[in-house]
Amino acid sequence: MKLYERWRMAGVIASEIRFQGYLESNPSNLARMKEDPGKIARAVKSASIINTFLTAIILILIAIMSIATSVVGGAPVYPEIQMAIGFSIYLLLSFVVLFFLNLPTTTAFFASGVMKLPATLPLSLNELENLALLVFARVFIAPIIIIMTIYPVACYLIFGPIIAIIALVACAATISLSIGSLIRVAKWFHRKTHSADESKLSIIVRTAAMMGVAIGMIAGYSIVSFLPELIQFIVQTSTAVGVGFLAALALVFPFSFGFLASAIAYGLALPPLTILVSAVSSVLYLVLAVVSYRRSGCTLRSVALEGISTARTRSIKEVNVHVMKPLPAMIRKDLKLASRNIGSGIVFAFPVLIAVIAYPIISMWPDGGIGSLIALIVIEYGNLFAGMTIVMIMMFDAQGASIHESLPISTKLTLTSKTVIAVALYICSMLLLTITLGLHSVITPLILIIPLVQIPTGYAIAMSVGSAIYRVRGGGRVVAINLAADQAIGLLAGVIAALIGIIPLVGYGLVMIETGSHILSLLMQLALATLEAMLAYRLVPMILKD
Amino acid sequence: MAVVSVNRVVKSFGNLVAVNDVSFEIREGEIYGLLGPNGAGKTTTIKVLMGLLDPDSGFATVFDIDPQDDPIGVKNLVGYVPEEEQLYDSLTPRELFNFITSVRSLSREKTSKRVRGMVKAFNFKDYYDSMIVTLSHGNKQKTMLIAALLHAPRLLILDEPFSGLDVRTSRIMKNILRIHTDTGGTILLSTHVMEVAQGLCDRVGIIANGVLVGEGTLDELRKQSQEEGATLEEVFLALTQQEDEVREGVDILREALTR
Repeated sequence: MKLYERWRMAGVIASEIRFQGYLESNPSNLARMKEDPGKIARAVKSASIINTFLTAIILILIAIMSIATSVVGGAPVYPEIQMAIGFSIYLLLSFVVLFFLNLPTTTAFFASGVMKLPATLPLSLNELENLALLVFARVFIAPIIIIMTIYPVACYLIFGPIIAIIALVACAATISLSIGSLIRVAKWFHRKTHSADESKLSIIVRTAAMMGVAIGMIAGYSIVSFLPELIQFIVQTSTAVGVGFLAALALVFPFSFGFLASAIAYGLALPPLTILVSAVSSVLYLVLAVVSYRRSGCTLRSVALEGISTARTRSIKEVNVHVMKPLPAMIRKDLKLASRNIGSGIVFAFPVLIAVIAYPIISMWPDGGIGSLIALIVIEYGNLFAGMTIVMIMMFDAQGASIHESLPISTKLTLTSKTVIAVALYICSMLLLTITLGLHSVITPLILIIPLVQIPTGYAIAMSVGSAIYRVRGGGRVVAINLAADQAIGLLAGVIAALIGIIPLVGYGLVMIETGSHILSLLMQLALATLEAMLAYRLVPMILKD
Repeated sequence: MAVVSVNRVVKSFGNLVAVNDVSFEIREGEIYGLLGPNGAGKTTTIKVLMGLLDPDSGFATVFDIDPQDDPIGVKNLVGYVPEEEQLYDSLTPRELFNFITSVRSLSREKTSKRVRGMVKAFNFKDYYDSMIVTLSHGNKQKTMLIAALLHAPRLLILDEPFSGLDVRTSRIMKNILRIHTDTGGTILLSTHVMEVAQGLCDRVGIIANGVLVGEGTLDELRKQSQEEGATLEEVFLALTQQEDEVREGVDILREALTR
């Protein structure tokens, strides 16, 4: 088979992997597939384009920030360190972006069995193995091209051809190491999330991995906001601790490449020990990258063609059933579903994401202490996310439509179970916002209480958004929803959550303007939040239908 | 006594009339087969019975409960195996049965004993703690059957229950259905497999394009279709007017497959 034909065939399979990855990330699509396959297919295509676009934007931003810091960063006294750190940060973030943004797709590559159909065609084993590699290459082609062009070209223009070559080699090594790690972690992750080992350790590992992945993905997207502070921090620490620290840092990937490039650009401005360590380490990491590339190929071939065993090795436990009350049973079911799917599990990282978004907003506030206005603004961000949270939790159910249809579960019970999880996450969000506010200087400690007083609103938001969606999409009954393929639902959820969430905050603001008293404002906020929760408790069941 | 009563039910989706003025009754202790080509309206009728869809006109009752008014009451009494296999893929059968038992508020001891029996009969023990996504189609079907039988329902509504089952499980399943009716239970069975319907059902209703075109025992249907001594398959094709289509399809395929 000619390379062109193999490349085209790999493209078809790569599209199927993206499709499977999309379904893996959005479980409710499985249920909606037959209803409107064209819509899902369009959503997959646009999600793929958006993903590529986002990856490109993130990588370009990282490159610009890294270059800017390398050249005109905040510590001009040590340009060689700035350059080393800027160079290294670009490699580090490329590693992170490549790894986290592609984990669902790579897991899907293993789960989907996309190589099973080509295996029935008249292709030799060798051709099949090469096809598997080409498929994987096509999935990663866009970020790889971006990583390997932007930064080396910028280095060529600013520092000259030698630094550009080092940048190119360092980028290639980073890609190889990132993809190597990605394949191994995806394989492990797939095994963990598709085997039902219920030992406590296994559950902890699985949940921690889920949270790590979710937070990692969030960090991958949001770290650009913190890049100047991050680079500044490393520069300051490096200069404060001394030569030994720089040598130690040069030992660690990807700083080895950064210090090597800096040494070539600035000569003996760096200590000789650091230069030596960076040169030796860079060679070692390069060798490691080559080994990683070769092993990745082998792993990929075996996984793509033979699959991953998720069979249990434990002894078979006694066959019985465990009974609990319906509400906790529904919550437990949802938590189990969420802990085994990357797309669902990400909802548990929302509180962290809210804090990550809130931190720079709070930090940007002028000196003189954080007042109530900034607290109200970040809480409203939390309210918006609360709307998204309940929608994502409602999506868990779609994959079990057959079971749900046959069980005597009232719509109210279903919504209540989702609301319990959503409220727990809302409480976490408000606690994290309190901590985030507490990390800054506030004009009065009472500011820290504003997020806590808002907590009853979390219940009102979850119940109201949930019931509105059931009303709009299911005539009041439980209905499978899909945020990715039904953006209108996301908009509806956001608007309702924002409106309900802002009422206690507006109440706080008006009382503050009128009286200037934080205590009276907090009391008004509490009264309105409690009233909303009570109204939601009373009124929402009236618009639901079994 | 009529366990299920469907009275002049009409259900449309836009311009498509999925169920058009359909009426039938299912008596206590019988196996009633609902047969029809793909898209005939069988599943829509079943969803109306389960309270999952509201009819445009007409009404249905299950044990004298109107599913439109009290779908939860109906679901408490019915074991339902839908045609589409949308299970919680990330759960194991153990976790799924724990969930169902809890939601139905069943007794732990009684249900455990019941599950043990079914797991043994279906040779399912090895898969009890495997994630559902990893199960074969047949084992997923077994999971749905066990789930539907957990609460010892008085009425079983089975939409294509034999699809994907191996010979052993199929035979056991048929016996379970007989045991269910022998002990006073009732079954509504929707199937495409005519041999199964002919061998198991006491009466059948044939639905085509949303209309009930025939109903009764095999002998009664033979008379309706004027097909003396015909099998249920032949009667079915005659009543749904598909005989010519089948002949034409076979001719086209013969020509296409001839080298």
